[in-house]
Order: sequence, then structure tokens, then C-alpha cells
Amino acid sequence: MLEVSDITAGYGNSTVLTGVSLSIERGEAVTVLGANGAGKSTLIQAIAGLTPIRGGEIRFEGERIHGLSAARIVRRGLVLCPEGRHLFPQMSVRENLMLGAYSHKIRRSAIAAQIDEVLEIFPALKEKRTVYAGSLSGGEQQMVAIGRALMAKPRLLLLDEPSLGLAPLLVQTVMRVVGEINQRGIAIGLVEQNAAAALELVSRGYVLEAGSVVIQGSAQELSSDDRVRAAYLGVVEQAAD
Amino acid sequence: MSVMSKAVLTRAASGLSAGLRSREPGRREWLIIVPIVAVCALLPLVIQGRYEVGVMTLILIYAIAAYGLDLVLGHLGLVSVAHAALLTVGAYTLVILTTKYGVGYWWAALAGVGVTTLAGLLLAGITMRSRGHYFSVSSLAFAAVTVVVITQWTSLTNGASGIYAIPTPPGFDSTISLFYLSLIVLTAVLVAMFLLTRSTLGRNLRAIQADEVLAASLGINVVATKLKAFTVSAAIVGLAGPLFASWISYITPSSASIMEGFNLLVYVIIGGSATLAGPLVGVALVVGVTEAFRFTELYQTLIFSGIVFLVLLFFRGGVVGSVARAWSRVAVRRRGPEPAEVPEVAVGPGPVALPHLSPADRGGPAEPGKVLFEARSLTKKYGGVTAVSDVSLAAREGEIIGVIGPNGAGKSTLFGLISGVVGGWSGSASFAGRDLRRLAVHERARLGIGRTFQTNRLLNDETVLQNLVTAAYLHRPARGSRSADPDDGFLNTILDLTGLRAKANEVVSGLSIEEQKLVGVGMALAVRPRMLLLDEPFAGLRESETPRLMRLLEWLRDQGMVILLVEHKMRVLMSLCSHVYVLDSGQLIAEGSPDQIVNDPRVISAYLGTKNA
Amino acid sequence: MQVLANGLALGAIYALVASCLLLIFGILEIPDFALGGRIMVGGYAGYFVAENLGLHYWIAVVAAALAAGLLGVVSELAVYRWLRNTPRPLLSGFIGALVLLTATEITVQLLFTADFRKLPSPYESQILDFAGIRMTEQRLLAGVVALVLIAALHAYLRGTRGGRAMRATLEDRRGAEIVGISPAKTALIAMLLGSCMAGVAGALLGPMYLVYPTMGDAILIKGLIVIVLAGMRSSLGAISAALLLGIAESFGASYLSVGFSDAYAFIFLIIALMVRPNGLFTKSVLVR
Repeated sequence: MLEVSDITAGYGNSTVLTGVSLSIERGEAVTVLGANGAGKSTLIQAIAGLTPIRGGEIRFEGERIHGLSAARIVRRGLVLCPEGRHLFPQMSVRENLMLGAYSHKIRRSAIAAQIDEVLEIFPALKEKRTVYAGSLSGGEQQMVAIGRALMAKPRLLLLDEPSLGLAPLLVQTVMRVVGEINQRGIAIGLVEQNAAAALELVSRGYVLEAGSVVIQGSAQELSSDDRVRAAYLGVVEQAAD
Repeated sequence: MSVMSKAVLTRAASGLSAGLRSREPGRREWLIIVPIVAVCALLPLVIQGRYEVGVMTLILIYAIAAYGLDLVLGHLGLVSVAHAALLTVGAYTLVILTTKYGVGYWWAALAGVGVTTLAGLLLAGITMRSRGHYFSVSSLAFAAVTVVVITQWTSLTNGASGIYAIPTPPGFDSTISLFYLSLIVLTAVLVAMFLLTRSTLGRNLRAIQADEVLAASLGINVVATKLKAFTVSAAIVGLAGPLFASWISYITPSSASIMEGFNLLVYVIIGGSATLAGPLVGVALVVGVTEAFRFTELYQTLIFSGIVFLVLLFFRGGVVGSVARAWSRVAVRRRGPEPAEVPEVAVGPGPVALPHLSPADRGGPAEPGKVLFEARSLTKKYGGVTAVSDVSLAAREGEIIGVIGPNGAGKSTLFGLISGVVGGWSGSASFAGRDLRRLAVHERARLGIGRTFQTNRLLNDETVLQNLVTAAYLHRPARGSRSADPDDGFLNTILDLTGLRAKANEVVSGLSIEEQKLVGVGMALAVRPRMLLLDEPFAGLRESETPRLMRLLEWLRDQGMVILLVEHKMRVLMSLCSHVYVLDSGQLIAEGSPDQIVNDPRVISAYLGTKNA
Repeated sequence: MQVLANGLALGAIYALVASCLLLIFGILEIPDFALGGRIMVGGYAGYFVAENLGLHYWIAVVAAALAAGLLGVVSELAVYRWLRNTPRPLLSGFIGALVLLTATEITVQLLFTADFRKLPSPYESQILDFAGIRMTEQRLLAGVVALVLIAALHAYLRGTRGGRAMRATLEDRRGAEIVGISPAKTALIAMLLGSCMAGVAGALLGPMYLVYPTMGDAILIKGLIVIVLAGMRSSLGAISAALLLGIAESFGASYLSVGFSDAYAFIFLIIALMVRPNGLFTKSVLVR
């Protein structure tokens, strides 16, 4: 479904990604792990068309998408739920969700039906429909961000650190929701720092270090890989020493 | 072409290209002042017409003002439309004092400089604390108001009809003598500009232009430095004011208009902002072409404002910058890359000791165990979101304290509160017995709080060494030491400790992320802190590089330094820290020794992941 | 009362110009000085339609909106769009806007000379007398039209798909891009709307303050001061500041001095910047 081959990207004089390749199959859930500064966000932004790439190729459902505008990529069904959420703080939850469907020029009634559908997944947001998104708690904002992405009817949903800044209980909730979305047949690309939570959810994963993929494999392989355990599941190793 | 003049030209060109990159100019860049002044001085021998000499005099006078403007535009990155108004203020002061009050010319000229400087100080005092567009809008308003005031204050200024018969400086009443007087003043300004770019003030201005937050965290008083630079800029323009009045001999309020201010900007941008020769070249080109083709002033502005647009898009650095770039490209093709024009680091003895880094010169010897930093109930809210909630912590000398928590837990905000970058918090914080509440970022840096940033903040266009020199600005000998000379061994030692010696003369933006991280640490050390705040220094570092940085931190700790360390790599934290604080959603959920933390169930569920519990 | 009413009418026009500036600044991140030029072009377009073609004043107003709108679209496509992609967009955009302003003013001066012209309006000669307040119909009309346009702009921003997209871009540029809103298209629409309204402002001012090449400068600077006072973001703040400024100028002109009335805005700005260096309605931002 998504085929990233040998891409290079960076800002100004510095190169952030060097020769990164990865793939996501239809309906699959895949994670990209890595420390802060390893290039995870640049990778996901390059895929979503927000950062230009300098070399390599990105194909979505067989067609080249690098060089397309972010708007066109969204219309094709590849949708990003960004790090830091990027909601519209002085708009209501409803308006935020409406804007999620912006790229599909559909009638108001159809949008309303779709909003109801999305709110089924996030029942907690139902009664907050008219509240400004900026006044919600962090967990609720994350739900709105995911909901907004769903409004664009993604076939592949990219999530950049959805657990960022959330309390543990909320992290579990978010991860459960992401799992549900995946079960509806939407492929998931999950960038996470919380490696343990991510590996529980996905079937495969990649580990990014200093802008290159250093390890890849199934979730089980990664969970039992010594390097991954040392670097990202950290303490377990230490405590067991 | 003789060998001699070729060498001079090459040096001049490399000087120009150094100036273009807004880096510190090389020692020999002053060489280009000599041919400039010489050519100017000889011109009247070739071009002798009274009118032509008059035009050349005007070019010199405008050039003086253009240098004043470029100090603000090129070195502070602020667009000012007010400089023509400042020029007019100086001119009117001279005119009014000499024609209405019979004051002697030189005293009146001096007063002109003084009044202009004061007007600049006023404008700067109001606007320099604010950022972004506020200054430029204020400069527009300043120009507009100057026109209004001069037009309306008819009793003093004769209003819109202007003042005639302005005296010339006694002894300089011929056209040619006014030309040479202007040239003398311009030469002085050129020399001053050259010295300034190489001075501590010039380096601080570059740091401020690149990144105000970084500059402040290095101990640079951003507002005061900007104020100083703007006042100097106004004073330079003030020099041009009386000369301008004498040259034009009839002055009206329209000299202060926004259009005139814009023309000054056009000169600087076309010639090349932030280059030593640019402003003069720009004025000469624009005024010269205008005269040669006998444009009216309107056509001049129209045509050259179009050219400014092209310069913005395609010829950054203006004429001088583009020529210098092309020249260095040719030079590189001919004889390979030129050695950088920055001083080389003398390879000194390896790292032995850090005499300058010991807290001893920073307020008494270190006493391990003494509480250096203490914070109680720190709270910070952004709108409705509480980023840091009721956090208390303490740090003793000779300790490495860890701060952990998931991304977004408030660690960076906490560092912001301690370093002063983030304001508007509640609670209390003290450092070395001083209350931090009322201290600005640079004052905290001066007290001995150094920091690195999670997203690296460096002076990207400068070399590693220049970054360190700028960072060490607090600790240079008061005067004199103008060059980037690491001879006190201190910067040498930092280069060795961070392993950056081989890269000392390389431009930071070309380094790897890993090396840039180390530059950040080196800069924080150059502030000679008693407490070091490190925001994820190990992130992005290869495993093989990790031990070196760990050893460095241990060594600093043994010197009595306090280190606050935000880090995700648990292995590093476990072996370095004596005490760890755990933040989650802005709250302190646990603290204690690393062993206690790792086994704390709350920490495990919040941070380390339930799966592993 | 008389003075207050005059001030409110003036303030409403300031508010209109400030709203245009704020919209364009919010979307393009360029302080659009050239808007002053477009106000002036609107004035001239109105003048030629009403005086030379002899058409009705309202047709002149529409022509002013079209001419200024066209110039705005051209400015965005030919200048601003390119400057936003330079390494220092803030500085380039700023200088580029100044270039556009001076180029517009000079071109108009070269074509039509710097003569002052009076845009004919049937409402300028009618004087209303209502509860002791005497005011020309034109002045009242100008104030009302300005307020109606501001209200219409807000209705557009609140109630339509395009307006919502624009508001989204104002609030979170990245977020807007992510949901598929094209930044280039939004910028073009913002320039079109802002410029059309600026053209109308020019045609409203024409009968009262005459038409000449630099007629936009003073009102532009006041509009800029108003949005600076409001912290470059708050539209409600900008509107209140504009009305306040209009009233202050009106009182100043009647009780202090007419000639200095253009200086009051600056005094306003000085005081505000001394109290709050970063504007009156600003929030702190997290630095990482």
C-alpha cells in the first residue's frame, strides 16, 4: 500500500534522513520507533507531503506521491494525525471535525452523518461538541485530533506520537482506539516513543537511529531484540541486571 | 596586473565573501577600506565638473547614513524606515541653531549629532523590548510623525515651505572641500563599522540576530545590546545630517518622508546588506545611474525598487555579496578551496585541567553537599493547560540530578522556568541564595546557570570556534581582546573535552546532528556555569559516543558543578544520577535514587510501560 | 456628541482597514503596507468612474473594489508568493510590501500627476441633523458601510466552508495544511477579499478627504498601529482599538490642534508599547 524507498530529507545544510526504506501493507499496523532527534517526525512529514524529500521515492497504492501537495495526498486517503495535535483551538470540536472532511467536497448533511459516526468511537466527545477545542484536556484534544483525521476517510492513518504528554490511563485508551481503527480495515503507521505500548499494538516495526533504519522485524522480534530492549524498553533490562 | 595588486584583490574579495556570510570578518578585511577611500579621494582629479563633484559628495553623505541604517538592518535584522527622518532631525537641528539662533556651525553640527542620537535612543527605548513587526511599524509611524511635527511647528521650522540659505561648514565652503570633509567622515565610519563587526558587540549582535533566546541564555543582555546598536546607528546618521543640510542648502519636511526612508533601504539592499563595502556601492550605483540617465527621483525609486525585489529573490547579499560569491567560486575552481579566513586554533596541550571552569572563580569554592538551587511549588499554565504543576526540587553542588518523564510531561517547560526563558509562573526559586523571580535570562546566565536546548540552538552560519567565542563572551578580559583567540586555553580545553578540536574551524550547519549536540554542550560550558541544564544531550548520539559525554559530565560533577539532566536513556541516568525526579503531565509523581525510581510502580506504569511491570 | 459621532465614523473606517490588514497578515504573515496603495487605487478607480464616465457613486464604489481586488491578486501572484519562499520571509516580505507600496504610488503619480481630485458623491452635499448632531450623509454612509463590510467578513469567516478554512489557517497553519487546505489558495482569497474591502475604503474616503497618490499612507499607518496595539492577532481587539483611535483623533482635532491629529496615533502606540512591549492582547508561547 505504502512503499517508501531509499528517501533522503533534511533542512538547510543538514541531512536528517539518509536512505530510509519501509513499507506498509493494506490493513496492516506498523510502528516506527526511535529516540528524539532520530528523524521519526521528518519521516512521517515527508510521507504526508509536508516536508520535501531530496532523493528516493514514495508510492501510495502504486502511484508516486512525493512532490504532491499535502492536500492531494489527503484526498488519496493518506491522512496524518500530527505530533502536538495542531487542532484549531478557538473553534468548536464540531468545527474541527468538519474541517477534517475539508478535502472531500461533500454536502453538510453528509458531513453531519460522518461526524456522528466518528463520535461513536469517542463517546466522551459527544457532549463537548460545541466546546472550543483549546479548552479541552490533553486526552480529549488527542481524541479530537484522531477524530479529525478519521473525518478525511483515511485508508492509511499516520499517527505521530499520539501518547505525547498523556497520563498512563489515557495512553491505554488512545492505543485501544487506534487498535479499533485498525480493526475497521484502516492501515496504521504509528510513530511512538512509548515503545512498549506501540509494540503491543502493531504487527511489524522499524527502528530509526540517526536518520537510518537500523533494525526491522515483527513486533515479537523487536520486543525480544537486545538492542531494542536496551535502548527503548530501557529499564527492564537494567532492573533485570 | 602585478603580483602585488592581485594579492590585494584576492584578499579583498575573500574579505568580502566573509562579510557576506555575516560571519566574523577576517583580520585583513580592513584592506578593502584602503582602495575604497583611495579611489574616492582620487575621483575629483578625474571628474572635475562642479555639478559632478556635488553629486559625488551627495553619494558620500548618503553612504554615511546608509552605514548607519545597515547597522540596524544588517546586524540586527530590523527594517527601519525611520532613518531618513533621523537624518532630517539632525539637519534641521543644525539649520535652526545656525539660522535662527546664530550658534556657531561646529557647535550646531555637534548638537545635530546629539539630538539625532537622542531621537534614536527614544525610538529604540520604546521599541527594542518588543519583537517582530512592532519595530518596523513604529519606524513607519516615527517617520510620519516627524513630517507632521516639522510641518506643523511653523514658528521653529518654517513649516512646509522649508528653510533656505543654510550655511556651509566654515573653511569647507567650496564644493571640493565639502567633498573631502564628507570623505573624511565616511572613512571614520567605515573604520568604525569594521572594528564594530570584530568587537564583542558585533559578535553579540550576530548572536542576537541569529537567535535571541540563545543569546540571552549565553548571558548577553539582549535589550541593552540592541539599544546600544540602535543608538550608535542613530549617531552615525546624525553625522550625515548636518553635512546633508549644508550640501542641499534648502531643506523641507519631505526629506523625512517614508519614501526617503525607503530610498535609504534600497541603497543598502542593492549594494549588499551586512557587507563592509555594500552600502557605499549601493548608493554610488543608484545615485550614479540616476544621474547618468537623468532620471527624475520618481523614476529612480520606481526602477530601483523593482531591482530590490529581484535582489531579494535572486541576488542575496546585493551587488557586493553576489560579486564576492561569484569570485570565491572562481577562486575555488582555480586553486581549490581557500583556507578559511578565521583564526586557526593553536594546537595546545591536551586536556589537563580546567582552571577557568572551576566554580572557585564563580563565587567561592564549591562545597559538595551545599544546596545551590532550590525551587518550591513551581507552577506554569498556558491558557487552560497546566504544563508544570506544583513541582519542588533541590540540587546540591557536585550532584547530577535526573529529570525524567514522557515527552510532553513538562520537562522542557521546567527548564524554561529555571533558565528564565518562560515567564509568568508561580512558586519560588533561588540559586546560590539569590531569588530568581525578578532575574532576566541573561542575569541568570551571569549568575552561573548554563543550558542546552532540546532542539539545538546554535549560530548556524558560524564556525564551531566562533560559536564558543561568542558563548564565552561573559568571561573575556574586559577590553582589548577583540579577536577570536582561544589563547587562554579555556576554549582549547572545551574543544578537547567535547572532541571537537578537528572541527573547530568548520561551519556548524555542515556538521552532523551528533556534532552539533556537542557544540551545544560546549557553548553551555563556555558560559562557565555553576549549574548546567542539559536537555536530552544524549538523544541522537551514537552508542559509541555516549561514554565520552558521560565521562565529561562525571568530571564536571567532580569539579563541583551541579548538572540537571533531562534524558530518556535510562542506562545513562542510572549510572550518572544521584537523585531522579519523575514528571508526568506536569506533576512530580516520584523522586528518589535511581534504584528506587526504577522499582516505583507509579513510574513504571507512567513511563516505562505497563507491559514490563 | 458631535465630536463623538465624527470619531466613530472615522474609527469605523480605521477598523475596516485594520480588519483587512489583520486578515492578510494572519494568512500571508506579511504586514501588507501595499494595502495603502490599493486603498488609493480604489479611490482613483472610483474617481474615474464617477467623474469621467459620469456613472453613479455606487457603481464607482464597486469599480473601486474590483480594481483594488485585481491589484491585490496580482500582488500575491507576482510578488508575495515568491517572497514567502526566501530564506528570511519576515524581512523579505516586509521590504517587498514597501516596494509594492512605493511602486504603486509612483506609478499612479506618473500616470495621473500628484493633483488632488475630488471624488463626486451625491451624499457629500447633504447634511443630516439628528438630535443636534450634524454630519454629512457621506460621513455617516462611510461609517455604516465600513461596519457592514466588517460584519460581512465575519459572517463569511464564521458561516461558510471557505471562511472556516481561512479561520483554520489563521489558528494553526500546519493543522490546516494537514486537513488538506491549500495555503496558496487561502492566501489568494485573503488577498482578494482584503484588497476589495480596501478599495471600498478608498472610494468611501474619496469624497471626504480627496484622492491623491499618497492618500493611503496615513490611514495605512493608523490601521497598522491599531493591529499592533491589538497584538497582531485579535480582530475584536483591533476593532475596539480602531474605534478608540477614531474618537481620540476626533476629540484631539476639535480641542487641541487639527494639524497634529495624525500624531495622536503614534502617541497611542508609544504608550501602549511602554506598558505592554508585545501588544495589548498577546499570549505567551512555549520555547523548547
